[in-house]
Amino acid sequence: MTASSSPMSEVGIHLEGITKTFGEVVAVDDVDVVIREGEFFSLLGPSGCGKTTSLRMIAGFEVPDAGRVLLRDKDVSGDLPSRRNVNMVFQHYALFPHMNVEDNVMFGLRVSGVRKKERVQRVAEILEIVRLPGFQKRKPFQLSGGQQQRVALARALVNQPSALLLDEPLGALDVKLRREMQLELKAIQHELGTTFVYVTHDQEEALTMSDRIAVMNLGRVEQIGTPREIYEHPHSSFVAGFIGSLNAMDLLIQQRHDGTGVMAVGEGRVIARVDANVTAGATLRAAVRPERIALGPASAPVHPDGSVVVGAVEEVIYLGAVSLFHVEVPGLGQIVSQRMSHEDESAFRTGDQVSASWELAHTLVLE
Amino acid sequence: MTSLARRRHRVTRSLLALPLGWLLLFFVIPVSLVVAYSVGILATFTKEEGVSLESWRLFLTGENVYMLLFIKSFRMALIVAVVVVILAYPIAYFLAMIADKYKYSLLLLMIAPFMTNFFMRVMAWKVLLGRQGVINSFLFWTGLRDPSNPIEGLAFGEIPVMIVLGYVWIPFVMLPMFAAMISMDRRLLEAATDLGASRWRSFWKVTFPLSLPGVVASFFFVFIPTIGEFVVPKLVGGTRGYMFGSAIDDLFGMGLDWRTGSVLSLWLVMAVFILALLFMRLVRFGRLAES
Repeated sequence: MTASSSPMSEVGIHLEGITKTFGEVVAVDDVDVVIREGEFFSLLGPSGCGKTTSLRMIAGFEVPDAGRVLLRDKDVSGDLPSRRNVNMVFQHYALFPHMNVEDNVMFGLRVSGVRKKERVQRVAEILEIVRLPGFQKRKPFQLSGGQQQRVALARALVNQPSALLLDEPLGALDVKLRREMQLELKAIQHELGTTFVYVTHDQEEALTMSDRIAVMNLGRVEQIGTPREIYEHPHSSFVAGFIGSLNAMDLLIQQRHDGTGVMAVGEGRVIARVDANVTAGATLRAAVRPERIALGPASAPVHPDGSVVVGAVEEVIYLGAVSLFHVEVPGLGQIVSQRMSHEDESAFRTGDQVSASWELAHTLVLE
Repeated sequence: MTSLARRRHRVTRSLLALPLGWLLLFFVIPVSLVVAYSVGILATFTKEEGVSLESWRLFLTGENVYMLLFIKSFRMALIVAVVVVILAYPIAYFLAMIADKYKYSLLLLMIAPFMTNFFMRVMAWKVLLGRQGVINSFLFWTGLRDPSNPIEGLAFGEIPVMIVLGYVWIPFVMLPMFAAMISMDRRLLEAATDLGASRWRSFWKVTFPLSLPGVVASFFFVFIPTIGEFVVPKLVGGTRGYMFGSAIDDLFGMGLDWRTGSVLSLWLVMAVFILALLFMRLVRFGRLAES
């Protein structure tokens, strides 16, 4: 937004060790997050993980018990929401029901004393951006959920905030509309260059839109990174389990070899990269993404250099573009492989003996 | 098919019969009787003149005192309703928006005195306002007023009637406004604050407009019954506190003139009916704005 700033480098919002307790419950526990200027940043986690409370502390609706909130290097921890140059899109939009779209969107401009002519013009511009041109005189109850959502967005963005805070804004929309709005939100963010802080419990939503994601659990940040980093290199079993699905397994390291640890499973093996301090006899928590597991005939695994296990197909679940194969592996348990439905591997049927194999890099070692 | 439709038709008609019968028995017939009295078709005493609109003419042209009395009652009801709504609004606001978890206990406490007998509450005001009442006695004691010259207006007249009516109505008046505010989405206030509005501005731009349906309801809750009030004027009105309802009460109750009494009654019913229509329009408008 500011002409002088070089986007993606400057610090937009800094949550500096913030903690918030409600009675006995620690909602946010020593959270430290740096959000860059112009970034689409998501706070992702299950309900009660502290993501909304964190967002409300940025907005000023909650005051942290400890720590500081910095907006563009300025400490605003004690400032009222009305004094902070950030705006919020509320979960159920919170549009003023007695005002039409124009008056709703204009509310902030009116408060800050913008002249009528400019107000009308800026409202028209922002309605253009959120693709609701000409909706000025409609009342909120005359709009669909998606349209109300856009008005809420326009009402916040028209004030040119230094950051836009979004609290599960798409939660009330149906799936198809939600997908559309995800892309649209991303496009609007790109067009305006405003920092977006987005709270969601929907991992797919966070992956689709975000530049970076902070995964939260029990009031703490588990991991911060790009969608790819978080998905491909989860640091904890919580992150791995929350983002995408996975096959979790306990590995008893039987022998070490060249920076890897190996566990024999029947005639096959599971191999993982392990730290130098992991010795034979140690147990590790590991995981494999279903789409990384290739299926082949029992005698000819697809990735013979990586991990290979053999088992029987117990169930095939057809999901359209992809199919899920539940394979019972003696000594390891059930693992799930996700394959494209049109590929040859998908010819396997219930009862077939198959090899399930994956590359070394795809054994994720957790914690 | 057709027999089914016919049967359904018959069921609908028999279901309608109950409310229609009720309406006929308790509204249409009594009102028709009153109309009959007002034009002389029915009469209590045979000496009365025959069928004519004479009583209506006398009332509507203002040749007798009753139209003036109606205007006076209308004015009093208006003052009581406005004052009571203004007084009750902050209480409702406090209970709904500020009192937090104590709001329902406080609400109950507010209403508790009104579970005592109506006459006792009115009599209590006589003790406060009477010639030798608490207020006058206090003034005598301070020497601000000579005991031979108490404030008469406190004991009987328009003012005590309005004070007592206001007191009687306040808890009922509070409830619709309380309900309107308690059902308001608090996030609207957060949204207003987020957009930079001060508390004062949030109140006038958000809370107040959204509580208006409650305010309108409260206003009519007082205004409509107050126009026709006759009990309180009888107890603390004296001659100057005499109201339109008192006149109807006397015209019928003392058996003086049922014909004029019927005219006044019908006029009151019409006035209340029009006000009720107006009220419903306003409230529906409010609902529409809210949804």
